[in-house]
Amino acid sequence: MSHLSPDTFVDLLDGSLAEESLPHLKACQACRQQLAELRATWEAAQGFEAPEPSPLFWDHFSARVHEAVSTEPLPTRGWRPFAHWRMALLAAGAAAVLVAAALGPLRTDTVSRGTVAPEAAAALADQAPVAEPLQEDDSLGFVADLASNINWDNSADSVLTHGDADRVLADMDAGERAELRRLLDEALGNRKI
Amino acid sequence: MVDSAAAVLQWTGEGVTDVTVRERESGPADALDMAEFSEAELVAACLEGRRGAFDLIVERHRRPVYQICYRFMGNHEDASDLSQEVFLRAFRGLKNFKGGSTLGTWLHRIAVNTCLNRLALKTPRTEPIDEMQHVDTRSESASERLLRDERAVKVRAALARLPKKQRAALILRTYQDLSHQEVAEVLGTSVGAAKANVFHALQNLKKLLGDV
Repeated sequence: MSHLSPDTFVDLLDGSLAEESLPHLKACQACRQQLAELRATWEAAQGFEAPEPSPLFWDHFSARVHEAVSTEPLPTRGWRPFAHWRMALLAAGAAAVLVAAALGPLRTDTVSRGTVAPEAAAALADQAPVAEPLQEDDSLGFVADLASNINWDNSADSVLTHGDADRVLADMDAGERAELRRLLDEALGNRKI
Repeated sequence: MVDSAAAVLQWTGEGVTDVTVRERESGPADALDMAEFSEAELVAACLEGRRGAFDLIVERHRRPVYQICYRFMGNHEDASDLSQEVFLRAFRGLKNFKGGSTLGTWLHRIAVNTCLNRLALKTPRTEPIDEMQHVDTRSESASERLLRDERAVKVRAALARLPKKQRAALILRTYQDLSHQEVAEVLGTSVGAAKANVFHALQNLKKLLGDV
């Protein structure tokens, strides 16, 4: 015969389990005895009352905490919603601008819309101006640095939808917007799209 | 392409409302504004720099935090000091509060850890019963009061001798009236382990108290 488990005794003490629901308890004198002792101990423990301080104490207490907290720097959220998105969008947007700027002359001068035969495409590719190596572009380096800080695994379930760009931009602080402006200015000014 | 880039630039200009977090002075009017705030709203307000929101959090939770500290330390002075430390730690760590549990449960966790840390450093001075002048005893007869005081002394001494986790589980469940789920969250254990701690705490308490 297996006796009641500690979990069951605690549930019985709590009243979350009714004694009548346990046939074993009716049959087992040892478990009944243990339950009675635990209940008596539980009730005895209730006798340890924490004193209720005076109302004056609470006023002083709150004032002390307020004073102590006022010397602390303000807490700011370490993780903010859209923080990764903002970085991702900033990096992606800047990268798109830079890539478009790099490929801009190729697209407007030599590539026409429509189907191109493979031979013709190969010929066009040979004639196409070569974009400067990406590694030498400082702005792209900055974007690469930004992108390297993004945990793409954690961002995988975050799918950008319509309006997200607006929200992300609205959520940027002045410094971030200034950086984006500088980046875009630099890209647009340098590349003359 | 140019148009989109221009549109992006326009967003970054002066015309866009600055929605960044700003610190602002919190006065009585600010506290009044927040009186009806939920806990989540108070936390958010704190993180926006409204210090008055934290005053309200203190006001709402100071009693249970003090009580838990008192149960651990057994005297008013330590309980008062530790309660202040609990709220200071809470303020510093508020940015890490994710809302996975209630603010109360989170504060209980800080309180338990703060008390256990203190107990690891020093044995608290147990307050003589007659120093507990702030207990309201007006409705009791002298004999009732004597009996209650004797019981309180015995229980307090026995509690102090329980292993840490058992003591914490019993205090949280018996006195703070937390559910087993909440006790488990505070202690960082499973619900089964929390119940087992309560069970063993009661068994040990029974031995320590003798005949009850």
